[in-house]
Amino acid sequence: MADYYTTKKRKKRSGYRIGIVIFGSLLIFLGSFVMYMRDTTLEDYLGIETTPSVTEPTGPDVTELVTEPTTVQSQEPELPVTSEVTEPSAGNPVGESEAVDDSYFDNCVFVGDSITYGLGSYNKVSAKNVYASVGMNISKIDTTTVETEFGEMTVIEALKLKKPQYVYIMLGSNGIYWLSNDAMIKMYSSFIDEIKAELPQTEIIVLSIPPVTADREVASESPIKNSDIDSYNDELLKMANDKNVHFVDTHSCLVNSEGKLDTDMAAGDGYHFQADTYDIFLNYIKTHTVK
Amino acid sequence: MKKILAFILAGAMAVSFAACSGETTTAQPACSDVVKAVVSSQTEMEQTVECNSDTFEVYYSSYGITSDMLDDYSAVYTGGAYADEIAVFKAKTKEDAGKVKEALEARLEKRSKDFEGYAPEEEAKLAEAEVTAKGNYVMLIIVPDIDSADKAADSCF
Repeated sequence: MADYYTTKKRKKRSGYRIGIVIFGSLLIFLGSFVMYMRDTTLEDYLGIETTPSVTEPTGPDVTELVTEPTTVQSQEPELPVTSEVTEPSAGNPVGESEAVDDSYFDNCVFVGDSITYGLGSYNKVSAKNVYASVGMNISKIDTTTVETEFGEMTVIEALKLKKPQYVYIMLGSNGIYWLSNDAMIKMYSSFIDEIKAELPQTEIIVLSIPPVTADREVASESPIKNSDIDSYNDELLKMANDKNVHFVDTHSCLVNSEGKLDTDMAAGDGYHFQADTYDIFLNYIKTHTVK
Repeated sequence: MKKILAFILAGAMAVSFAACSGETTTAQPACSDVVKAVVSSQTEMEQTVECNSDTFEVYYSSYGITSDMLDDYSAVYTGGAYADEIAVFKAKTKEDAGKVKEALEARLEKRSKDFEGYAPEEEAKLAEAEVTAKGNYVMLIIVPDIDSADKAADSCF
């Protein structure tokens, strides 16, 4: 009998010990779960997406980055303006002048297509002074939006905010393959009238469009003839004179003795520029300025 | 049997401690290192140019990414003829990362629209491109070989 009770007591004590271990394990597990949930949310734990709550930024500021852009309505003019637009008194095309330095471009905006876009993306001029878009052509100038410091908007909307002293326009490379010269010149003229109406103090400079390589002239897809480019540039000069705006012949600094763009100055498509070609282009502009 | 059960529970408890430490061991690479890794993964990409403060303002701030959202960023792209772009941002908070993602998706949409009907090769690149997030890192990658780019980016984390 004593053995029976002793065994029973032993079993009871053993049972208690096991129970305590199990209970303790459960407590510790619960505690671990609480610690885990403290560092997350129920939604994260369950993998449910929710709108996160606002938290204060805790890291250091990235000081080299820009601040939030001002709203369109409150944007003040950034650039100086002349009191009168200079008549193209020296005649078109604009002749050679004393070279200006790169700060000249702070007062300019370049309007155009993907070739002009490269001025900003290659960091040749500030991207804030380039209003251009891949695929832009004169038929879409009033509808296609461009990326600007003010946000995405049309060229004329951005020009009205920026109020630059000079606006350089290079349009036609994208369009010469399928639009007639007459159609392009008509639309170009309307665009110039629009700028004049909105920005009477801004000098308008039309740029001749650049040549293409020999390979591009015979490309199986969208070939472009340099003779068509020359013909269009002649029409641009006439339009600039009719509209009393300036004309700078940037084509002349890019064309070789055969009337084409050198292959090593062009991207693979024989049409866009290599990075170094923009330097030649901009040096010509700096030495053919409007006073 | 009860002892075995007790040992199993103790082991589960130990594993819980390890798993619920509250600390992550996810790598926090510099954004520039991620960009370099992706560039190195490409064999057909044209020469790239680094983003500066002005291009940041036009290409990213105009879509809503501001400096106070970021701990770090790095971006490179090619010239006007090509759509190639590798942009990596490390946002400060989860909310900021969400805003950066939205902004980059808007930029990708704009670039896709610009190249539509203009350059078939670039259109194809943009169709394969994506905006991805890893924690507070958000990346826009538009390159000729997106699979190699993804592997290269993943290897940084």
